[in-house]
Amino acid sequence: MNFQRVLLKMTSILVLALAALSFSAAAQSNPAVLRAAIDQEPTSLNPYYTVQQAAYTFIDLYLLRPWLFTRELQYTPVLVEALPPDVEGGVTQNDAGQTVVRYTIRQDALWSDGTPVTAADFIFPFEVANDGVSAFAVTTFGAVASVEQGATEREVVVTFTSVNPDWFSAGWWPLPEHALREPYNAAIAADAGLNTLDWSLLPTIGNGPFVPVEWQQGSFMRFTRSETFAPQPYFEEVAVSFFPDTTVLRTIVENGEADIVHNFQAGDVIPLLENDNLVIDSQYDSGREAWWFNLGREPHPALTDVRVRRAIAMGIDRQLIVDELLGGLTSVPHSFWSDTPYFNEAIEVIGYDPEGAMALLDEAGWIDADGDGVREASGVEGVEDGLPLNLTVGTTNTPIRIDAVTAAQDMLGEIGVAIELVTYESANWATPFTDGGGFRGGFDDVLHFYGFTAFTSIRPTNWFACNQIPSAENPNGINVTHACYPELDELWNALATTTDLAEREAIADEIQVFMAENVIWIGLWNRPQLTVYGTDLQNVTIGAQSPYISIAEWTRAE
Amino acid sequence: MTRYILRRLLEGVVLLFIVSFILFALAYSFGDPVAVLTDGSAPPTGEEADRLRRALGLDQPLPRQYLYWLIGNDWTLIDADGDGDTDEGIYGQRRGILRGDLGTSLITRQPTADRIADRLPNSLLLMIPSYILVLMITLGIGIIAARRPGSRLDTVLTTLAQVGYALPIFFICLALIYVFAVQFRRWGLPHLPIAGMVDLSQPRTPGNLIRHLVLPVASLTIVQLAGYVRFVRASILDVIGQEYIRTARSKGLPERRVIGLHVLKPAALPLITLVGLDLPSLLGGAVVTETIFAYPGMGLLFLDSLNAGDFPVVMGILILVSSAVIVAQLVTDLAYVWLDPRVSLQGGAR
Repeated sequence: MNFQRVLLKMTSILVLALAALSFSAAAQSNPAVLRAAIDQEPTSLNPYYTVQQAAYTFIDLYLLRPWLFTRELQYTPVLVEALPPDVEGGVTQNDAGQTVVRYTIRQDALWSDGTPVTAADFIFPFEVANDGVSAFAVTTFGAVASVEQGATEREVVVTFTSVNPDWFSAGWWPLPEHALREPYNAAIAADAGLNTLDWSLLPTIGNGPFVPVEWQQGSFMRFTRSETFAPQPYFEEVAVSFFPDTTVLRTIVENGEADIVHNFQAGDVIPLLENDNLVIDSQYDSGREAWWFNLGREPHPALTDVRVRRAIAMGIDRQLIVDELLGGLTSVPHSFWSDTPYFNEAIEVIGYDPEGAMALLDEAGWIDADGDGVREASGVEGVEDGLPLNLTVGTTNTPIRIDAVTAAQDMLGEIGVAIELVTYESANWATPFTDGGGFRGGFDDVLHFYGFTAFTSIRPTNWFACNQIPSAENPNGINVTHACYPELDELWNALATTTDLAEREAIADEIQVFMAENVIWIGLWNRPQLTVYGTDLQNVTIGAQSPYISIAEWTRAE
Repeated sequence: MTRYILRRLLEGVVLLFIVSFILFALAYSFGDPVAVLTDGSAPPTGEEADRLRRALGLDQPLPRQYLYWLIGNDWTLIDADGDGDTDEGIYGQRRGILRGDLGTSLITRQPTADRIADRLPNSLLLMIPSYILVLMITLGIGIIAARRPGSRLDTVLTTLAQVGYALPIFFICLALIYVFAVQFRRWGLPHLPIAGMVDLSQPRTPGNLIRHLVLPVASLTIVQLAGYVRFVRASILDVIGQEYIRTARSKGLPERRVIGLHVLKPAALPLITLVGLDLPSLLGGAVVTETIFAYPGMGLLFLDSLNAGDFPVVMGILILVSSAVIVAQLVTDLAYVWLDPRVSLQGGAR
């Protein structure tokens, strides 16, 4: 037998057959299938078992909440006829001083099996959250004392544990109690939780315009049109594929193999800015990238002087960073409430002013006496003369952060401030204080990360709370400035307990003035939530935090 | 023979225990899964983080976590509600790897075995064709080299194989995408899909799947080829210089019979070792290729799980591959003895 010839023939035939098959024209794509793509796979389709942005991206396809936040930074009713503040008795305070929120579900709100959405569907998640075994990943119900049915089976009454100005936190995702009750009770009898139910893996009963029908982990998810949703969407199906490599993700949308792509980093879409066939939608996600000064854990002595902190803010051309590294797709925040209705226009906005920065540093006693390009202490009280002004900036190994710190390093170098970049693996960043890690347990002079999810309202935060300073006794504290400002603490506490909107706005104004005057936080850029889609998609409105808020209206051009 | 196999299996079990503890300690040190669960950059607040850690069993010391992973925790009371105290009458539900329970994913809360079972066939679908192609092309090039060593064709083929070896796999993947998916499309030619396993806007036919397999299989084949070609070519040239080959030729045997009968079999024997050592990698998938082509195989599962600090899944994959390595080595040794009568199980040649 001519083994050699047979082998060569077999190889040739195989290669040619595969080539012919693979290069043959593909079947026509179905235009009624919306092809979405994202770099991360959702960790769960049950919203109570994830806190991941990628998972939340698709939840509005199949599970609607009573209200949603629009791109105009306003709440809009979804499952309810009207928002609680717009209804008499919608937001009240009971004799015990607890905030009580009432809302009524729309009559035409239906689950995909035709069952009406009722109060029982909102009571059920609260019950599950407190069953001791279901172990939700979210803390939705932390401030909720009780949830009850009101006068009708469609009225929901939520009572918070105390005064809660955030009425909107009473609107969580309902779960189809009628379908889940029986398997849930069986699971509980077996000491198992909601997470063990098939529905948690693939929620095949939903109340949105689509219903999940298939999830091949690591590859794709499919959602088909819900027959009970009105109006019926143009698209029959939404197919979501996962492409972990960003270059491939970009090529996919450029090549027309995806209709809409989510979760891009700003730097990744810069090459797409000139593409006329694509629309790049940018809006804020919930955070602001910023530099947080370490003012309490063996900081560089220069940072205790507000003039030095101000000089650093003046020495960084933040708009240039936004324009060059983020393609101008976002803006520079000047307070936690920048670009929201709650921004205090009266605060001093620190712009790029290297000359002014150098003058401030000179005034503060930091001068470059030896001419090496780095300033040193000269007559600064409590600081040994000659101590160089070199600061470490700690951040995660996220490329855009590294690029931004590197850019700032160059800019600050021009005014005589030396910056050393220290990067941390994401998994080792936010570990408890006792485990080290850059966020809580590090000694870096400045931390670059994002934080504060406040733009949806004037919400309180404990990022600067005195009782949140990380320590061995409080290993998970989140005040990474390691500094206690009692005046600021008091303002944040007041914000947490004041319900009157005008008073709250006044408090927020004071907080912004305090933060601006003391420069304990330098906003670098508002984190953009970027969605890229083809121009053949029409009537598309991307909602803040809810890209698919209006998908029932989307169509495709012929 | 039976005694030898039993001894090797016993050694394998001991080795697996040692390897599993080392891997467990390494996997444990990857970082804080809770930080990753909450997207890392927005660190969870104290109570939330503590509750999540307790709920996931991450508050236990390393030796106890390893013990539970090994033999389960259904014999001990657990802290089911995550309040810091064990709950009366509530026992753990894990049976441990020794009783076939690989644990539950920290991220998706699914059994690790299910996650692996979902991905393993996909990886095999990718790896086996590329492996078959590698072996066939390798033998083809080896034969050409044997027939005309140092010829222009031999030089061109081995050089091309070396080029493939010298290029990083991600470059090969992206270059193939650029040419066959992007440029072919721009030129109006039939083109291949960029990535994924199927195009969901088209009927899910075998053709749809194969079109998506071509580029990743080609990438893997190109990158694996050079090592095999070098090995087989050297082996064939070694055999071809033996006296018995000269004898066969001097007897007037046709060249194709000399190659097919007297050269290929002895030259292919060392290949068994190479194949035996590489076979377990079929189970591990191809991390870079699967990531770039968004191919849902074991490599991508491993990488995702590693990034997410999902160490039950990481451990499941590592133990599976480790076990496969031990079994493959045993099978390789046995195959060698079977194919080459000069080799004995007692060690050394007869």
